[in-house]
Amino acid sequence: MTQYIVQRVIQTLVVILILSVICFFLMHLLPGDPALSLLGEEPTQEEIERVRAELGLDRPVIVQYFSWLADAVRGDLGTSIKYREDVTSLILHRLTPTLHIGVVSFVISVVLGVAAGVIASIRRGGWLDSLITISANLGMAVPNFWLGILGIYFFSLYLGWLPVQGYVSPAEDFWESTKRIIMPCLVLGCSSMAGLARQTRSSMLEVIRQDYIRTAKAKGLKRKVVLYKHALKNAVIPVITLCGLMLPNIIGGSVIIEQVYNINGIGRLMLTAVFDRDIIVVQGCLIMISITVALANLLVDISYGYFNPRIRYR
Amino acid sequence: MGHLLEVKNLKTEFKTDGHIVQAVDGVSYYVDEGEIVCFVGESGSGKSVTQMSGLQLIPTPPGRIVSGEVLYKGIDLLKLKPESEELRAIRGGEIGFIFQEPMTSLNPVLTIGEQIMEAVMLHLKLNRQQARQRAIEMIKKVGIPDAEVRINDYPHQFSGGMRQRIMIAMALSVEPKLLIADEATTALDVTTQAQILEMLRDIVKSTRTALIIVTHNLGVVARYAERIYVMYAGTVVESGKAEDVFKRPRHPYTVGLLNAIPRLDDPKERKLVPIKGLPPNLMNKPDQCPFLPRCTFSTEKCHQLPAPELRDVGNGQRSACYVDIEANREKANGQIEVEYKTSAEERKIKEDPILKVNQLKVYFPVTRGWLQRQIAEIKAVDNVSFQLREGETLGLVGESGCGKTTVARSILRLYDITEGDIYFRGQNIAKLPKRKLGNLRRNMSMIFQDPFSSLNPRQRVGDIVGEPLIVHKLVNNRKEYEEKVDHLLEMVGLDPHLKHRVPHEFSGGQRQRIGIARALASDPSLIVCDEAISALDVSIQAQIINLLEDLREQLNLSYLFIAHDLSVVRHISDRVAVMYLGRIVEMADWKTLYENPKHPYTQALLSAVPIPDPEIEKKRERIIVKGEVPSPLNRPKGCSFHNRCPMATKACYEIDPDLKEVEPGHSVACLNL
Repeated sequence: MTQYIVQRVIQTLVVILILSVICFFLMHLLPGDPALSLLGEEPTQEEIERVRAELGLDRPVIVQYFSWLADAVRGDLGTSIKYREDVTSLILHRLTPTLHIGVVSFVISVVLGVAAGVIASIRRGGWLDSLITISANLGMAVPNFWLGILGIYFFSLYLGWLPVQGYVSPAEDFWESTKRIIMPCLVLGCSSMAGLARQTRSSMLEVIRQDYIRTAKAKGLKRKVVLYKHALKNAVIPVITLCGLMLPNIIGGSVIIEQVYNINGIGRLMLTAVFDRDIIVVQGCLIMISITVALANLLVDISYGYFNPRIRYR
Repeated sequence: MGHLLEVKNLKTEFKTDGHIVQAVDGVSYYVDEGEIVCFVGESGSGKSVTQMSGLQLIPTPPGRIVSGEVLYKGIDLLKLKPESEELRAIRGGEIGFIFQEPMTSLNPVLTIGEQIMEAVMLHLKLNRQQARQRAIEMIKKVGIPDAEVRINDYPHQFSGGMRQRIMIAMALSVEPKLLIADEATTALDVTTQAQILEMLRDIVKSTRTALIIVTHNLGVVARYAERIYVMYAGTVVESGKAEDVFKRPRHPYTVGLLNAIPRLDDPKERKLVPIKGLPPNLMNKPDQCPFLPRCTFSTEKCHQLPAPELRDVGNGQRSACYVDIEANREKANGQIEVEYKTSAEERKIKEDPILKVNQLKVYFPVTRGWLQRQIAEIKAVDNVSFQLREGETLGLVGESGCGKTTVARSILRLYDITEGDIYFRGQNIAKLPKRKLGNLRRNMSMIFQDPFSSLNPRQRVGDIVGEPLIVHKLVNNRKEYEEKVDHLLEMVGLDPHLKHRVPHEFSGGQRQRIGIARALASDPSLIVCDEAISALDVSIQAQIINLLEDLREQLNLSYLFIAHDLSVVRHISDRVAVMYLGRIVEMADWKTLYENPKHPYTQALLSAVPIPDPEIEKKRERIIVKGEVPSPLNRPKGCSFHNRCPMATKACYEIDPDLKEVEPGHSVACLNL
C-alpha cells in the first residue's frame, strides 16, 4: 500500500508540472497584449516598452516560464496587472468560498447519489426505482445555471425560505452560512449526483448477479449482510472512478454557480480576470484549480486502492 | 428412519421473453447420511437448478418453484420463507454448497479468512477469535500451506485450484451434514481435479457428511459415486447404484452417453457413437418422452404414450423408458453396429514432415511501472521441437499454462517468435516478414476453443465461412463463391440454407461446425485445433470428433490437436506430445505413450483421468501428484517437475534434463531412466 501511495504521489507531482506548462503557455497563446490592456487608450511606443520590461514580457518565453515557475514554487504567483495586488493572497482569499461550496457539494452528491443508486437497485422495477431513474436522467440533462435561477425563483422569491444570493463564512455565522450555500451546493452537485446514482444502480445490479453473491447467499447470510458487506463493497469500485471524473465538473461548474449566486469565489475572480486580460491572475487561478483537482484525484486514487485489494497488491 | 434429504416431485420454471422454461420438471431423489450421490447430465439438463431450488437459491424472478417438497430431516424447506431464520440456518449451516467457478465464486474485496469466519461465526456461534482459529484449521485441512499468514490474503492471490480448496474449507467449516459440489472441479486441470475430489471424498467419509456431486464428467461419476441420477431435459431419466447403471444402463440416453465418450481403455479404432440431434428446447414441452427424437430404441408405443414415469427395473435401478433395454443389451453395449474408422496404417501418412518445429522459444516480457521497464520474461514456450508428418495427427496435451496454445499460435505466427525455426513444407517461416504471411495462412488454419466468442456475432454464417475465399482470392465470381460456401457448409453437416443466419441462432455444436467450415475454406493442408471440442457437451463432442476424423480422411489433412482431455487426444491422435511448463517432457506414438508412459508427469496425468467404469476404477492404482503447476515466471531450478515428482532424486534439483530418445520414436525428458 505504501509503495502504491508513493507511486501515486510521484505521478501527481509530474501531472502538476505538466499542468503548469500548459497553464503558462496557454495564456501566452491568447491574443491581446496585457501591456496594452493595462495602459488604456493610445499608449506611446515607449510606454508599452517600459511596461513590458516591467512585467518581464520582453524576455524569451522559456525564461519567463522558468522564472514564473521558480516564483510559483515559493508561493509567489506574481502581481495582478489590474489590481496591483499579490496574486497568491488574492487567490487564497477567494479560494475559501469555492472550496467550501465545492467540498460540501461533493459530499452531498456522493452520499445522496450512492444512496439513491443502492435504493433503486434493491427496489429494481418498483416505483421508487422508476422515480430515481427518471430524476437521475432529468438531473443529468438540466443545465445548472438554469436550475440555479429556477431555485432562486422558487425557494427564495416565491417561498422565501432561503436568501437569494451571497456568501457568509461559516466562521462568522454557521447557520447563515449554511442557509446561503445549501442551494448552490445542491445545484452544483446535481448532475454529479444523478450520474452517481445511475452508476451505483447499474453497478449494484451487475454485482448482485455475480457468483460470489450466490456464494454469500448459500452461506446463509442475512440479506442485509449480503447486500452491504458483499455487494456494495464491490459495487463502489467503479463509482469511485466516477467520483474522480466528477471533480473537474464541480470546479468548472463553480464559475457559473458563483456568477448566478453572486459569490466572490475563485471562479468569479478568474472570469473577471479573463475579461480584463489580467494574465497573471488567470494563470494563478488556473494553476491553483489544477493543483486542487490533481490532489483530489490523488485522494480518489488512494481510496480506490483501499477499496480494491487487487490494485493495492500489484 | 427417513432420508437425510428427500426431494419429491420438484418443479422449477424460468420465465424468459414471455416463454416458460420448465428447467426442472418433476424431479424426485434422496440422499442418505455419509453417501456420495452423483447427478450427471449435459448442460441445460436442470441438474444445477435442481440443487439450487431446494435451498431457494435460484433468482426469483425470473425463476419460480412451482411445486414439490424438499424434506430435510423431515422439514419441508419449500415451506420456509427464503429469508427466514430457519432456512438460513440450514442453507450454509446444515447444507454446504461448492460452486463451479472457483475464479468468481469468492468475493474479491474480502480476505479469505473473513469469508470463512463470517460463516463460522454465523452458524457455529463462535466469537471472532475462535472463528479465526477454526478458519486456520480448515485452511490447513484443505492443504493450503502457511494457513496463519494466508488467511489474510485476498482471493486473487490464489490459483484456481487453491480457490476451490478455499470454497471447500468455507463450506466444511460449519460442519454441514450435506455438501453439494456443483461442477466443482469442471474448470480445473485433471491433476488438480483428482487432488480436490480425493480430498473431498476423504473428508466426507471421515465425517459421515453426505456428498452430492453434480457433473457432466462420467469418469468422475464412475470413480466416486455410490448412487447415480442421470438427468435429461429437466427430468431424472435413470437412477440406481453406480455399478449397475454403468454396467447395465437401462435408459437409451445413458446408453448413448456411455457410447459417445472416448475412454482411455477403448479400442483405438472404435468410432464414437454420437447421440444424434440436439437436446430439446425446454419451452412448451410436449407431453412425450423428451428423448424420443434422439432415441435409437424407440418403438411405436413411445410416440403414442405420454412421457414415461420412472419405473423400477430391478435391484433398485429405475428408468423412465417404455422399452426393455435389457432385451437389446448387445445393441446397448455398442457391441453390434460398431463402426470402425480408417486406421492410421490405412491412411496415407507420408514420411516427409509437413511441419517441423526446431527449438522454438516464445518469451513474453513482463513490464512494470509507467516506463514499461522489463523486469522478467515469461518463458511460455522454451525449446520445443517436434515434427508433424503429412496426414498425421499430433496430439499436444498438458495442463493450463503449459504453453500448448502458445505453440499453436506461434506456428501460425500469431505470436512473435523469440528464437527457433519453424519449417512448413521445408520453408522456414519463423522469420518470414508479416506481409508474406498471407500465403502461409492459406495453407494452415485454426479451429478455436470457444464456439461462442470466436465467431463474429454480427456476421452472417455464409460470410464467416466465405471470408477466407475472398481474402486469399480463391474464387473468381459471385456464383463460384456461393457454390463454394454451400459446399463447405455441406461438408461439415450444415444445411446451406442456413448461411444467411447469424451465429447466435445456432447451438454450440453447430457453431463449432461453422468454425471448422471456416478453417477448411482456404483448402489448407494443416489445421491447428486448439481445444476445439472442450467447450462442447459429451453427445455433441462425439459428433465433432467424428467429423474431424472423416474430414482428415477425405481431405488428407494433418492436425495439430491441442487438448487437455487425454481420452480425446488418445482417440484422435497418431502421436502424442506431453507438455509441462513450456517444454515437451514426453513424446511417442499414442500406443506407447498411453500403455508405457515413462515420464512421471505423464504417468500422473494418465492416472488422474477417471475411466467411466466403476469396476475398473476400483482396481486402478492412483498416483496423485502433489502441488500445482508452478508459474513459468519462476520455473524451478533443475528439472521443472522435480518439486512435484514422486521419483525426484538429488540430481533432479540440479540438472535440467533434455528430451532424449529412449527407444525408436519415444522421447522422454527425465533423468531417472
